[in-house]
Amino acid sequence: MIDKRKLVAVGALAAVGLGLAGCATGGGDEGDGKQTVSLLVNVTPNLTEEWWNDLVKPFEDANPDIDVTIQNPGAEGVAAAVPRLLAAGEAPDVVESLPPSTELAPELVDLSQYDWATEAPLAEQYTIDGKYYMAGIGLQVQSLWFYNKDAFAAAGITETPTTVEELGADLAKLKEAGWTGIQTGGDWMSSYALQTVGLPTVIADNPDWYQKMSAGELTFSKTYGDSVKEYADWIAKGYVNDDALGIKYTDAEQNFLDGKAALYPMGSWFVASEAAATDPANIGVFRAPAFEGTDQPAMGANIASPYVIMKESKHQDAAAKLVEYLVTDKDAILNQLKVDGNYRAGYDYEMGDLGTELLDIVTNTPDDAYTPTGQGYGERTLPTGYSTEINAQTQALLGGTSADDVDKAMDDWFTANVG
Amino acid sequence: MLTDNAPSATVRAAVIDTGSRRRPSVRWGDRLAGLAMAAPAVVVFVAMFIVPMILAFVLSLTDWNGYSLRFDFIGLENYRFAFRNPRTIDAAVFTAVIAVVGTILCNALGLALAALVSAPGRANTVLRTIFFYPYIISALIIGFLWSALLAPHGAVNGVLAGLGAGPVPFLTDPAFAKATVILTIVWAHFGFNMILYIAGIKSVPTEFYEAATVDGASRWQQFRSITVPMIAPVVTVNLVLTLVGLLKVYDVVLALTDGGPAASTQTIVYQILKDSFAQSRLGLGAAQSVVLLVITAAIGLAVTFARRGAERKVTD
Repeated sequence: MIDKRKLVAVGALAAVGLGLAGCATGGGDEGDGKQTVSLLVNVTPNLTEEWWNDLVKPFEDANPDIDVTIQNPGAEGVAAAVPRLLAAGEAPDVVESLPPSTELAPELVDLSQYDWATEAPLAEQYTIDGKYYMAGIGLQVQSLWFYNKDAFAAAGITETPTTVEELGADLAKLKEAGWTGIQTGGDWMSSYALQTVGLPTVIADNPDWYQKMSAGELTFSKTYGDSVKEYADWIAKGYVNDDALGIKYTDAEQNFLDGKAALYPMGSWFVASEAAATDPANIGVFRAPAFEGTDQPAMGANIASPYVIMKESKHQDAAAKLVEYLVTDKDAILNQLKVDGNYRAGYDYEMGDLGTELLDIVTNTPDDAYTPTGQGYGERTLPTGYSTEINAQTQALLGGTSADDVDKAMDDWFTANVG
Repeated sequence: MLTDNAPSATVRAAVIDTGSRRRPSVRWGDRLAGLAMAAPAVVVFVAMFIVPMILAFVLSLTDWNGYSLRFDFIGLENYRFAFRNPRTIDAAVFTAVIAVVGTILCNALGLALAALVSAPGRANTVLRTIFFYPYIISALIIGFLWSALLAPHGAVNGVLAGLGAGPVPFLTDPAFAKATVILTIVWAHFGFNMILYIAGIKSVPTEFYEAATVDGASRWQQFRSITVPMIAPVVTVNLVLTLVGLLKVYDVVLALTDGGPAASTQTIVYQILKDSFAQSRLGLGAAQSVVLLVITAAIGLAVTFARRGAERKVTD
């Protein structure tokens, strides 16, 4: 291993055009003996800087020797800002929404010694070499089908499907009743439906699918092929909106909220959109089923608001105190869960009917059923670029490419990228 | 028959005459002053171009991921991966298509319009402004503009629907999307080519046209036998600039299709940026950048050398 900090720092800046300007500098010591802990966060319409400052204020009040500075990475987001800040020697103390990866792990503090990290949601799934590098506050559940209850009733469907085969049969009834079956779109969301169809079975049948695919021990066509074929069949039969590739995420979501489609595969954050919508359709949610014969369908889920501490931090103890507060203080957790529509068993907050339905799903899903989606996380990670490739190939599927050709393209991609 | 032997002979004689004289001696003081004045430009060139190039090459031999300040040297693995990755190959092929087709269209259109609107006159001034205008608009704005116009529910398909015609998948079918990207780039770029050609056409001595007119040459014959040969250096500059510029296309693609559908419109620079930042593989991105740099330089030089013969006819 070569440590050439200055060369890389200069190289990074000069060769790829990264600027030094941007975020504020990392934490430091103030003259009055106070320690300043910097917290780099994603600022969004929900998670405003003001909201973040309010969130950490009780911690600052309880710890007068620690001052928390909220850092806003701006449009580039946390994931892009961290490498730049690292290269510039201005790493923040704590980073939010940056799940650990094998690439990032060497830059993070090992939190294995803290119970609040090892007992946090999905903590085990995110370990790398048995070490806990992050602590989160809840779950973003992803293998979900939101459905229009009126559409189901109009098609004579009285119960939500429990297998992919039943879902296919329901889609046929919906089409017969004049409904667009599945609402999907272009952008990043094209592959969402395919993954919602496939992952519950693929992971249930191959619990180590991520590791084995990364090691070249399994192939995409042999594990995911049935799901690709099923989804291609649905596309061919007209169960998916035919303008999918020209629809952006926000438009797709609005179409479903407006009652223009019967099913919408999306993550738990959609509940917040439904709650904020004016006069939305009558919407329910069910857990994505697996193919017949699968005992426990896998449930795609990501950690909500994962916090990591950078190894570069000069205030690691103070940073650990801050993260402990953020992931254990009940009010702080509920505040964070509620603002972004996330969930955690045992943490109820005021929510609508759809939120309650979703919380039931979370409560009834055993911990070992959870699986990463897309690229994966922790040790369950696929080769870099998988998410964009599966999305591109799903778009090809929507454009009329055959399931066999998509399987072959994915196999070729894995061959090129594995090892 | 058109002949211009007299001026050419005069120029040649002048060149020979100059070459036969002894070069005047330059004093050391003047040389030092020249070096001092050139030094800032040389320093900037080295610092901003040579050094980053060397660093990019060094990075291309590493597995640097952008997060860690530590990295391993992995030899030529990034280069090997780039040449076997189907996505990079697809992006390189599409970039080549953009460069070749775009260069032909931009230059054909630019030259044709330059010939039509190079003459003085208010109407021509207005037309020149209109044709050049897209070039000064930000490529991102152009991308978003055409995206809004050509989307499935965009203005163009809205008009077509009003006329009873079905929607055209400008941006949602891979073949259509590729054509849309190329034509949008041509629309945004040909004004620049036109302006250069106009400058070239205006530099052609009017005596040639007067002589040709006296000889009974038609407008087309004058264009083919006087204008085109006389602006050969401008043609070379246009070809090289367009070709090299189109090899680096990124922003229009980002705004117009974001590389889709099904990654069909990803260009090589789009791929480099995606690999470097979205995928945190800066070593791989640097390797692809180095390959692109070499190819761009090679193509630029090849076109320049290939055009030498045509240019020599003008300068001799």
